[in-house]
Amino acid sequence: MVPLLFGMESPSPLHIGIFVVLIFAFVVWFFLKKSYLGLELKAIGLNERAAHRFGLRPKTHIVFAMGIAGALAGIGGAFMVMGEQYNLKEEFTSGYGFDGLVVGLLARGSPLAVILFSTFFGFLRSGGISMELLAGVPSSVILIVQGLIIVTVAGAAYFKQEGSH
Amino acid sequence: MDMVVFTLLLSSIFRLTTPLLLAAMGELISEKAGVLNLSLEGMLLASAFAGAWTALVYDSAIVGLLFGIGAALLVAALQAIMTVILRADQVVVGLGINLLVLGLTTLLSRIVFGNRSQTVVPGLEPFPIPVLVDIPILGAALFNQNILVYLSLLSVPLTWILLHRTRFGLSVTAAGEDPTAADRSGVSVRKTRFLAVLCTGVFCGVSGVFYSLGDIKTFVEGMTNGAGFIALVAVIFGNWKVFPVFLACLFFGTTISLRFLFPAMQIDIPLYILGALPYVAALLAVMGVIGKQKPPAHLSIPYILNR
Repeated sequence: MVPLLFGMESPSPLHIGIFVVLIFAFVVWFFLKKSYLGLELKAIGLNERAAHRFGLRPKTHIVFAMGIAGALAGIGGAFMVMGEQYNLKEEFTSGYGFDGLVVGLLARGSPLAVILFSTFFGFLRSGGISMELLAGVPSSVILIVQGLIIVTVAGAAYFKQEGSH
Repeated sequence: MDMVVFTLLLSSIFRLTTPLLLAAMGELISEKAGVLNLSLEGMLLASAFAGAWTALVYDSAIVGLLFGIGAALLVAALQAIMTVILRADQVVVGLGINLLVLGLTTLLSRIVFGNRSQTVVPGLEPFPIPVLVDIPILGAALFNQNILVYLSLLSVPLTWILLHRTRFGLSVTAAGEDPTAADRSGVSVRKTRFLAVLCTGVFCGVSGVFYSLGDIKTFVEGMTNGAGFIALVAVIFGNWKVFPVFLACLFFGTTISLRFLFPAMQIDIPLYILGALPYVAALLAVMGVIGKQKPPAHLSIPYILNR
């Protein structure tokens, strides 16, 4: 069990996970923006061949990056089990992985955008559950909202990047 | 295993392969044109729901089939507009559309069918094909199915002819391999890709109604359950060629059938291994274990017209 923020007696389910996650977001930002390894990763992402010519090894870097990504996702999963559900059920992730993928794609490389988007999606999920409990509105409405947002934001790229491709 | 059980197994393999095969053939057309269609799941679900609903309202499975195709076409049109015209990221759009359709169909099915409905809708019944059904084993298994199974088998040569013997197929291949050259030769890459995605919609429309009208004759929320993704995997595993994709779908249909057969025969294998098999196969294929992979060179890269 992971320590709760406001103690075991309070109704708030917040646990230290939220701090840990924000710290990690900052660490990732710092790593990508300020460290040499982060710069190498960016170079490989922008032009793999040029990076290779420069002397970097894209294969090892990519494997490394995916490993870190997996580790971070693992932390998320661990918090889900230890901070919230306290047991292990089938399919306990209930599609969070896809949500995470979408947040990552929509945020397009900015850790701040990741924080904002994932907070927003978290609110949507939680709101959907409450909506179903309190107002009888099916939580599938939330899926519709999410889908519309994703499709719209993805499509908006056309109107922003025209000419800068 | 005696002959009766084997025939039953074959029959169920063909049945379960049907939706995968149709969806995979459709997706093959899209991907050869260069569009990665992650919204397959959405098209299947939309078609399954529309089929069930209209079959109930008009008391006819055929009407359901037609409306199912229409619904899938709508989803395909959305996908086409987003990816071909607006050039949005194909992965994001596909996943977004899946969520959207899942939400919409779940909400609408609550309204139309009510919570936890048991409504039975008119379905597509199997009918035998006169002479062919008398072939021992294979005949009884294959030629006594509902019309969608026959359509799915027809879709294989149909797709091959479409891709390899028509001008449209040539444009599709060109648009996927080298859109710039295609554009210079006068092929409209946009129109070709748009049409290719709509073709996928038609195929998926036929495939989706299998779930609600051909199999259990009702609509269950999220009933396609990842079939769209398995179809995608089949295209990868089949190396983007018609006949190998057909074999891949048969293979995956077999693994799904075995998931039902093994418990019935009281064989004690964990079913989850069978469930994972399609994805393991895809990983092996992509790693090149099974032979060199040759995807269309410009798959999932949006094409920008140089004016």
